Amino acid sequence: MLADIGLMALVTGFLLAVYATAVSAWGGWRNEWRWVESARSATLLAVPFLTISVVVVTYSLYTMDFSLAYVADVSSQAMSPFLRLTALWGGQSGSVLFWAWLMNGFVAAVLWRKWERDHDLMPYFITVAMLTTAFFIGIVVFITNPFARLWHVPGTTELLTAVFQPAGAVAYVARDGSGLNPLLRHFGMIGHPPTTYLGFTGFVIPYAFAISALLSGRSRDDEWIRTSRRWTLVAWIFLSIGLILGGRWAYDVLGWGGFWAWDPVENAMLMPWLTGTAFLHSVMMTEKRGMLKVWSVSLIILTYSLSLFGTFITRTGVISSVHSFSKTALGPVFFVFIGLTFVGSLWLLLRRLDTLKSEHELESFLSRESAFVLQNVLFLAITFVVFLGTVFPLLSELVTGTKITVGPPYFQKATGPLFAVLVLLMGLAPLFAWRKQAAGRLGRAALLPLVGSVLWAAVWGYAHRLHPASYFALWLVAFVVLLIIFEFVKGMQARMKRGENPAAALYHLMGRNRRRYGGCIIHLGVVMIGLGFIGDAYFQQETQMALAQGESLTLGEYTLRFDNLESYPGSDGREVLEATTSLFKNGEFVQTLKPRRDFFVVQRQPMTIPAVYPTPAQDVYVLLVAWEEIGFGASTFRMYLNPLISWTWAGGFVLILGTLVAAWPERQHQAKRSYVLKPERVQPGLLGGD
Amino acid sequence: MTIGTALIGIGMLVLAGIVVTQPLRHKAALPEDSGSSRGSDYDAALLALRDLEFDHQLDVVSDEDYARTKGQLMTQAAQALEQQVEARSQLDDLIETAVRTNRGGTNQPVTCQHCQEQLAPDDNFCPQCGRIAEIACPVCKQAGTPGDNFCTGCGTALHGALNFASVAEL
Repeated sequence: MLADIGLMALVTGFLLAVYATAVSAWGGWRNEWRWVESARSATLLAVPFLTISVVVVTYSLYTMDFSLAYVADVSSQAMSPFLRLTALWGGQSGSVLFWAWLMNGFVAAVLWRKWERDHDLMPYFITVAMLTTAFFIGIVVFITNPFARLWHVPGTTELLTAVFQPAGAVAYVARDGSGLNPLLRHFGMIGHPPTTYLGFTGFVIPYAFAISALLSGRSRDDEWIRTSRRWTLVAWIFLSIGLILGGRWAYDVLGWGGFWAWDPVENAMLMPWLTGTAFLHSVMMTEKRGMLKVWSVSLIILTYSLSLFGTFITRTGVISSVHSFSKTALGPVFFVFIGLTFVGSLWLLLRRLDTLKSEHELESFLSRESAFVLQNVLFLAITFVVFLGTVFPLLSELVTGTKITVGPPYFQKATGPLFAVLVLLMGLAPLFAWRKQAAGRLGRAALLPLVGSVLWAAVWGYAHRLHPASYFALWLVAFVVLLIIFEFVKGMQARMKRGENPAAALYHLMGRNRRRYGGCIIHLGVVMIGLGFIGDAYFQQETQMALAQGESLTLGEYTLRFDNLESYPGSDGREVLEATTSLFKNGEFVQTLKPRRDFFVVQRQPMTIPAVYPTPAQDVYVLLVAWEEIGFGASTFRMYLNPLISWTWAGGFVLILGTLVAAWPERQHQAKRSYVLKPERVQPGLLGGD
Repeated sequence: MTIGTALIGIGMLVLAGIVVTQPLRHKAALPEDSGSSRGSDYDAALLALRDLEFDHQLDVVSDEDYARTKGQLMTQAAQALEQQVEARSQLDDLIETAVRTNRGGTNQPVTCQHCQEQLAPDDNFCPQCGRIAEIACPVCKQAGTPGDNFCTGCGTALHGALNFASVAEL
């Protein structure tokens, strides 16, 4: 009965989404506001109905209602209650339902308060956003329904999956379920998928605003861009958190010693993040100088399309990935939808090009505008490289009939230099003035950070006898960090001239220029994350050795002694083989490490769980690679020293903090107004805001 | 699916239908954006000036751009201030009128019923004929005194006609 209620709530939610799409379009076309209000009511009302569906599926997973095919597929008696709850997004049906629910939630959040403010956009906004939402709910209802039951045709061994009873079949209740893919049985299931989904679905809001502006002819006005920027920031921060948590999860579970493997699904998350980041920068040019309007709109369209593409890869399993637990037949539907969305949006953009003309032109190569343009080009270049590498297996299969996969070396070599220039620009761009920058002033501003960073890289590199390429990486990081610190110092000095003490100056500096200094903190976080990548690329050390009990292996200043090996049954249907080792640093005991090898009996799938000793300088990362079955005589361990990895996780927190500072709501008139720099020929005119 | 669950489903659809058709039952007008939450143009100009000043101190804005943009913003601020003062003056006039109306009950001068001499609101006796001052309700002609707030015949407000709503709308 409960599942039936969930199904009916789902169908009602779908009907409401379709209704909202249709009547908002009608209201907008006929200019009848009551229809738009009705569409708004339908959008808001769809949320509780979809919530009922989500709650029912979650409850069914928790209580193990194995009459439902989805529950039998992703839940099992061996799984812990926490894992059973997170199984909502562990399989296809549940995750698409969860996706649709989040998307509906985002649209409702826009319509909840002050929606009249953009009343001329709203009919189009509701139409676009709810059309997308209806598409996803429709997939859940018609293609991958979590309320579909298991049916058995008597006299056969066949099991059917259908919402309604097929002719001649009887209801079937499985005794136990298959359970989640072992890779998903991790604490990371709480955070990584939901935040990633929030990031992906959140991009529907700026996209819908952009398309609404194009449809309504309001694209000439900049107000919608400001609204889009705020919502992009919301989606962007969730996607950032999703990326960081995903990296941490991979580091903890996948057992290859790193946290980023350029896996297609990782790339699918990275691409909208890159274009979203580019948009967040280009929109500043649009606000301040009325430039890059076409570019900004294109970036929103691209970001949203890449979000859909990410869903396409994740949910269809069309490209082999560590995430290929969700290989399904959704491909054609998704492919058509993405194609229509992308082509339709571009067509609309081309139709409205005349309303998006730049108000000014680049006046100097040495200017903040040029830095933004270059940085945007770099973001797009990286996106293109990643896209090409991700879809290369598909392209190669199409052309040659053979699937050729490009590995991490391609991505590292192709994107490494682009990222390096991007990071350099990240530090330098805030120094550039709008319109044109005097070279002398720029040189003076960058001189101290330049000298300081060169000295630091030379001394530190010489002391540690580093690989030559690493000198550049270390210099780059130090240079950018110093530039950011100097940026704060300069701002504080400006305030301290008014008589404020340093603490008050810093507080007011941050409080009154949130976007600017929030951005600086985000840049600092990105540099810290970059440290982990540099450590991984240049400084990682690795060794592997078979050890008998009591024997040791040494790497750098660390020694690992193999003490014991034991086997025991684990919690959720796994057999655990656990080694006990002692870690010594320069001969002194520091910690006991227990690398494991878990074997999931039902799925017949092994998992290598590393043991990690983290420090700010480096992580000691130990894997149990092989062992002798009889007598546990000797085991083979692989040991990594991963320098600076901890900085990546800390950088993630700094990035989140910076985004919160930048996105913290300001008083309305503060948030909307700023000066606009205009060339001399333009008469004194209006503010940039409304 | 039982009859009970089917009824719940029908109930959901009916509820949804009632809620979404509710706005269709009245003629909704396009909402006006009052702009009340956006602060004044004067405040905005000041904030923009503050930003400009700070960016100039950080060398993000050149001296030339700073001087020109500052001039533009100050002109804007002055214009906005002028508009504010003008609006304020209009508001004062309206309040004055409203107060006068309130004190007088109506805009028409109150006159003595006996000699038609104009009476002030606090006159108890007619300054012309010396009789007890009496006024007539403009609606039912019931006699009253200038100090009355309401007509004793029909309840019409003789005083307190000040329309605060119209003042607040300014």
